[in-house]
Amino acid sequence: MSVNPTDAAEAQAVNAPAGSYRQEGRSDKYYNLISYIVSNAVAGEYIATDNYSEEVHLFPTLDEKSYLLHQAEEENRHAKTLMALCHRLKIPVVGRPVEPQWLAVRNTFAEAVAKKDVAACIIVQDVMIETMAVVLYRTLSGMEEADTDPETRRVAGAILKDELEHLDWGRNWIREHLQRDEAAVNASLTWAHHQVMPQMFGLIRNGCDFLCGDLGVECGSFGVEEIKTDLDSIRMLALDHYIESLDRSGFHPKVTSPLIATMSSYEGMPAALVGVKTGAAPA
Amino acid sequence: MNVTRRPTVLLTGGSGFLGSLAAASLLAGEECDLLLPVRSHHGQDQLLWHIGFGLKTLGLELTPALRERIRFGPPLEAERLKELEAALEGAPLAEVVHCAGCLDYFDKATLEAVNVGLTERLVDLALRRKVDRFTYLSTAYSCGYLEGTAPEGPHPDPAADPTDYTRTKRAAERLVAGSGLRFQVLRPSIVVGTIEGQYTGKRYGLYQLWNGMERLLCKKWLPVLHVVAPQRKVSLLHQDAFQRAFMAVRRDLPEAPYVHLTSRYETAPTMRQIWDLWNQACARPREVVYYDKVDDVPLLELDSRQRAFLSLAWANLQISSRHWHFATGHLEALRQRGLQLDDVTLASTELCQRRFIEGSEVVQRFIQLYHRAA
Repeated sequence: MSVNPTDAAEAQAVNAPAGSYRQEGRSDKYYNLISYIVSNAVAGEYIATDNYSEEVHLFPTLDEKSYLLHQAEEENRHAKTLMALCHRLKIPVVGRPVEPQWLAVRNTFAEAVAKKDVAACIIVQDVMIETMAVVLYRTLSGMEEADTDPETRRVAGAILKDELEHLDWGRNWIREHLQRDEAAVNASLTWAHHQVMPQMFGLIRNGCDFLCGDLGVECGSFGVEEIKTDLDSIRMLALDHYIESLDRSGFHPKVTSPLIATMSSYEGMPAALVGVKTGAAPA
Repeated sequence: MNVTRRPTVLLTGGSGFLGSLAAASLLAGEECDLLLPVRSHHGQDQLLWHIGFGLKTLGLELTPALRERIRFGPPLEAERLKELEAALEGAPLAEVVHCAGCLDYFDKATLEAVNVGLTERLVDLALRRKVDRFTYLSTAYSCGYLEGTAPEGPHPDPAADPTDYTRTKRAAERLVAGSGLRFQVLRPSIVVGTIEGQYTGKRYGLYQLWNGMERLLCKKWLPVLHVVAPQRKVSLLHQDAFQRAFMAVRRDLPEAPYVHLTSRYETAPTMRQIWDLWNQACARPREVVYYDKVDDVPLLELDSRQRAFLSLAWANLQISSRHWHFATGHLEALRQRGLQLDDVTLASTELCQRRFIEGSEVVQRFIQLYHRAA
């Protein structure tokens, strides 16, 4: 039996004493942020495990079923790997989805399964969730100018490789099916986009609904500036990757551009004071 | 206890941009008390700041005497309307000035609920309270896509609407006009900063465009920029001109049922000029490829940031690709009677843009990095 080098490194790392992987000079706020981000990542992997498992019966061939079961296992392993990372870093982690956005995405997927809308299932899980996972792991692995500790970078980098494969599989499936029934796949995209993307972008924020309470950290006391980035940069990165995923899936810009236009309202319209002395207005 | 005999005006949307400017204008120009529904004490502080700013623009201060004329009421939620009515007890309600609205083009449910549903409830309240007048702040774009000049009158259903926003604003106008109340519908165009370039609204209109450029086109220098910039006039209005026009219309044309509030067409900049201003001040690409319509842009050939920019601005770019012309007979009549209004010009747009750039760290960093390198 061949041993996945990532698994071997992981097994070694899991056995290491807790706390020894913490990087010197990193603040508690930094580790609270990592705890918060990684818990969200675990939630995503948990949801993905459920999604892949749930859709197996919709696929007719044994090869496809086998592939999807393998995906589910892989996502499950990612969740455990991330929880082990938190153990090593001696930070709390929540091992299930608690944020309403994740639960809404999971419900959307279940709805697509109930409708037997296979294209929507693939779009939700393999294009949308995987795209956001890629953005998350690229950020955590330090590929996007974010400043994270070596252990988090290593784990995120390893998971990223798997997620890119999942994304590729989904995009290929969509491209092939767009050629067979373009109108139906476009309709699935439109439905999935309006259901899922507001939720996914709603997760790019400082603060939470429930997660911080479950983690035992003070909500709002830390933010992404701890890894030397900002929410807007992450949102723009997510938008870039989403557009790229849609393009590479073969969707025509005439279909996707009006959908992307709706994303301008996801975060609300920020107030602006232009040409007015700062500090002159209440926050 | 309110011991004055001043009539009370219920002003909705006071915590919004134009609502706060309308509130300042009412305090400055009329002898009335204002009842402003707000959500929180924090909201009250913000609102007072914005009213103060609006007063300053008119050369006044928010003095204790003026502050005394402002009362805050419960928010305009359906289930709290009784509380709002209770707040009106003992004070004769002279008028409703309805400025609250939803501007989110893509949130159809909220557009219906706020622009139509809330207007319906307020018209009902106004009828029950037998108010003297109902003023509705609409938009110049409530006409939808039509050929020729939009009249200062009721709009029939157009062939199409750019968004559900314009459709719901037109529906609200009809509710007000059909209520039997004495009414006035004010239709401002796109409001930009003051003639000095100061802006206190949300990032809508031109600021939405600049905000998109800041976020998506100022990460790295782009040698070739693809822009949707038709040589069509953009109907703009300075925020201080909005206030002066608002006051003048109420004072001198109280019986005009529909009034467009916008700068003179002749002085307005075109979308092409607005882009050129940005490119000169900031982007400085080696080559600019202009398009008249978003549909003409070869989207797949563009890099992802330009794609994202064009996609996010999709609705506004489609709107700007069309010809819009609004009748301004009422404002012209007021000008002939001596109303001084600063029109939006290319120069005043440039000043607004300069203020925006000065206040943006992202744009400043971009300029420092890339202009020097260039």
